[in-house]
Amino acid sequence: MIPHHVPAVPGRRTRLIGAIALGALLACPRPGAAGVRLELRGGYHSPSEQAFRDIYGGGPAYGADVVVGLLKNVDLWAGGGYFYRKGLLTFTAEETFVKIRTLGWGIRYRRAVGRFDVHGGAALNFYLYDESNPIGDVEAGKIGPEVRAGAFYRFTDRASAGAFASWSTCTIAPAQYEVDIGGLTAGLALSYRFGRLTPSPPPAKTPPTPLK
Amino acid sequence: MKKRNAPYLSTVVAAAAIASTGPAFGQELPIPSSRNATVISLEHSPADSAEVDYVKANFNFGLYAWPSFSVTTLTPDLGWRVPLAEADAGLQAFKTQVDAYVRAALAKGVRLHLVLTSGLARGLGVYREAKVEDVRNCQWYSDNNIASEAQITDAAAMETFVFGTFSRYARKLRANLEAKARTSQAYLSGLMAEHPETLVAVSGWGEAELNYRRLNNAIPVQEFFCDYSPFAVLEFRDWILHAGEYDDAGGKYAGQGYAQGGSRYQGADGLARFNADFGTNFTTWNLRHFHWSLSDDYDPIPEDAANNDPRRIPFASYVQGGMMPASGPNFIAGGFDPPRAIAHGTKWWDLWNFFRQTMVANFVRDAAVWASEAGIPAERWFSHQIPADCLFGTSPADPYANGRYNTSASPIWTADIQPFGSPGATIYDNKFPGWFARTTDNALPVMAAMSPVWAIMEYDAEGYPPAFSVQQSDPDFILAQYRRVYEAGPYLVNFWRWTESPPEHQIKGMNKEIALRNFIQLIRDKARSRDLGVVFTPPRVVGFRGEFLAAGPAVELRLTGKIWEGQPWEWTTWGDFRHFEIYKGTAPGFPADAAHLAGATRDDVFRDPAVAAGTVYYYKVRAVNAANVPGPLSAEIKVPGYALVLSAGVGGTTDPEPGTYMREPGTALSVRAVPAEKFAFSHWSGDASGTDPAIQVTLNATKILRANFQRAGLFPPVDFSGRKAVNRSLSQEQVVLVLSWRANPQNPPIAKYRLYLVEGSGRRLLAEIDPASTEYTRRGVAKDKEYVFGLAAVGADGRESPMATVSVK
Repeated sequence: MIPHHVPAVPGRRTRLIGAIALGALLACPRPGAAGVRLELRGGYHSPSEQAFRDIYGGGPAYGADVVVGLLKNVDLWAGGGYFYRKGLLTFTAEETFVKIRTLGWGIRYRRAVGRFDVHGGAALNFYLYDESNPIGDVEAGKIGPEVRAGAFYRFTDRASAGAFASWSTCTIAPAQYEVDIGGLTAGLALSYRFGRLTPSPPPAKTPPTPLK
Repeated sequence: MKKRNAPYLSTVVAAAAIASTGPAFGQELPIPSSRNATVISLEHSPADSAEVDYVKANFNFGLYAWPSFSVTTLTPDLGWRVPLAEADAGLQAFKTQVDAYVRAALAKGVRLHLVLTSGLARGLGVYREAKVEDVRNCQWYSDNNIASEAQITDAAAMETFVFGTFSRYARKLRANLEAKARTSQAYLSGLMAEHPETLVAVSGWGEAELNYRRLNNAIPVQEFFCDYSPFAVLEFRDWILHAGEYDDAGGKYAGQGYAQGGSRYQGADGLARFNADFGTNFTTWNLRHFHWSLSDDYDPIPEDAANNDPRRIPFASYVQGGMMPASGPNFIAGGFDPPRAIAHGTKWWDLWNFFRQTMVANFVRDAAVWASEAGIPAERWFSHQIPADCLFGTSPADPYANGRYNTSASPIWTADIQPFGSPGATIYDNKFPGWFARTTDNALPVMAAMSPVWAIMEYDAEGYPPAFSVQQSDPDFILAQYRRVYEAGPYLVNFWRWTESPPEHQIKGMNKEIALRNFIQLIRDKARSRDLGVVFTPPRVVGFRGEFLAAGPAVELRLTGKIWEGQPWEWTTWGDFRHFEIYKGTAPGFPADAAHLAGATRDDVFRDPAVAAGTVYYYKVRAVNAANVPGPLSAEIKVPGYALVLSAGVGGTTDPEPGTYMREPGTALSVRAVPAEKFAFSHWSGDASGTDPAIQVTLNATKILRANFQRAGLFPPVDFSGRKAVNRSLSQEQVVLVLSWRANPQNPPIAKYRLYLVEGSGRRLLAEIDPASTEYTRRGVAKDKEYVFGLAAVGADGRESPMATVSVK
């Protein structure tokens, strides 16, 4: 059996992860900032590539982001995602497994509409592709873009829930085939805001009532 | 050299004495052979199915009267320019012709006699090219012409009138003749060995004689006798002198020269002695006309176009009436020359005449020697001579009365080719108004005295020359002529001929047919005995056996039907066979008397129902002839009351081998099943059971046992095939090879399969596969490489079947 494991080039990969981590660090809330959100995502990922769909199909994808406010309506976020599927080899119908992990950062525009926060933005992710089956084990990583939009409903000042949709693309060639591992993802998200809340306006001053 | 007609005379008396004695009454029936049978051959093609069927249906052939057909003539033709080494291919047409006759005779169950002619005295067209190339290859008459004035102007003179010389000194011609003779004879020898009961006789060369075609009663006989070809004349000289090829010290024919010649006549003094002895006046041994020498190039390579023989005389140079020059380069005054005019009783003429006959005899004998060397038995190769000194009533004592004798130089003694072959001659009688011209009168006793095996190659009791309106004789008269021939004792008589138009010799539909039918009936059981009333005593019956049959019970007695072991003759073909007498007793050595006579039958099978199981019987049998004379009793056979009947299924046998074994009651027998290769014993069935191959059987009743076997060998799987396919994941690809097969249904349960990669002449084990599997997938094969796989079944004992193989690309 000829192994098809294609290891990524360590130096290049290290540099990429470093760049992503640096971006995430920049996005971290600074002391004194207005607050930090933690958003958890869960959705359905539909791959763009036909072969992907034939062998693995679509499936659940998960993610988590840390979001900080950068400007009044602009947030910076950093986070990661996870996708895992089991499929069948085309001739022998043996099991094959694919795992895609992402790590990236992005920027988004947010606007409050009543109790809704609607947002849209773009990110740059590092995709770590991992496939394992009787033919061999391969692993490869590459950066690719993502655009994402969504809306949250604020239940409280800290907790929100909403929905999102994203589109991503990343074409990699870990072995004999070059494939786009991106696609459309749509799902639900939960958000929780940590830290000091933006102070409420002071109550309006009223004349003191006289003592009797 | 002694005159050839001398040796056989001494045997005449002895042979005649044997012939006159004949088998005495009471003599045991002899095995038919060429020494006592008569081949009744009819000159007619055996391929004429309707006539052959007619003959078989209307003539009662028997033990000693064998049906046969003669084909006269076959003339093998090896082209004049065919390389002698390629004679075998060059004679394909002849072989094809012979094959057709042999096949036809085989199909009809009749015997066959073939006649070969040389192309020199019969079938003259064969050597036309040879005669045109060098006219010395022709026979020259005493005036050195090769034909008469009238004949030579005929465009077909060479094919019709001009004979080829018999001289051994015609070396190129002889080389061709010998090559074709030896090749033809080798082929015939093979056919005789393959079909000894079919091709019983070949005669040749058919009617070898010197040229007689100028015979004309209006011209003196001395005008037309041969052979004065320069080849023959030089041979005559060397035959006298024992020189050249007759040189006793190393000549090809050493020892065959003139007995009173040789050194006495060699040299100048010898020439003088010769002149003195023979009344000649030669001054030189060189030939008077057309002298030549054995040192001349005789062109031994026929396939090239050139014949560089310096003395060659092409036909274009031949001058009718001008071949006896009195001067010039082709004339030597005082040169050697045979006598040109008949002078019977003079030494010189008689010497020449004897040489002419010797030349004919040598021509016939040489062919017999070649036949013998080709493996043809002497009693199947016959000469086929014109008995010129016996023709139509003339006698060897006064041969000159017959003009044909003078010309042909073929007296009856030239037929004697022993020990290389057997004598044969054309002997037939003609009927004229008021008289018969009977060649048989003098030829039969001479032929009979010559050899115990001899033949008449063309026989007619009475021919009817078309120019005379003679009536056929009545059947009894003709039968009497046939009996005259029979009493002379020929082995083969070719009755000339079955059909003919006009019917000068025809047999069918004539009184000759009636006579022949009666003749065959008379002689068919008489073994050539001159006493046609003889009834032979039956020989001892052979091949007698008996079997006890539990059903009935009964004893079935069987005979092979054959009179003699190893011989094809059956009792029913013996006309004087009456029946078998079967005797039975319950003790060995019982007397064969009326009290023990169990019955009589003419059949090969006799069933005796008067038996009881468990009793041992003894039988013997004898044959009885038409005169009610019994033959000797057969060996006594014992038929016990019980039998062991053994049989074996496919895949093995038994020890003792399958068959019926009669033993006395209570006998214990050991029986063993013996599987064949790749088979194993399975079980016993019938009156035994179990899987032990060795068992004991006690005959307390008739036992029927069968040994059953099953295949033990392993066979490769069937429908073994393979293909390549692409197997992929999202990012990876792999070429896989899938092999599939079916289990061989002939195999017993197997332990596994072994898969091999076949590389050149070797193989490498790739995998051992579960016996239930019918598919195997191999990964990581190269997409464009061709692989050869072998798959073998492996038995429980570790034995491996042959491999099934498949090539996959």
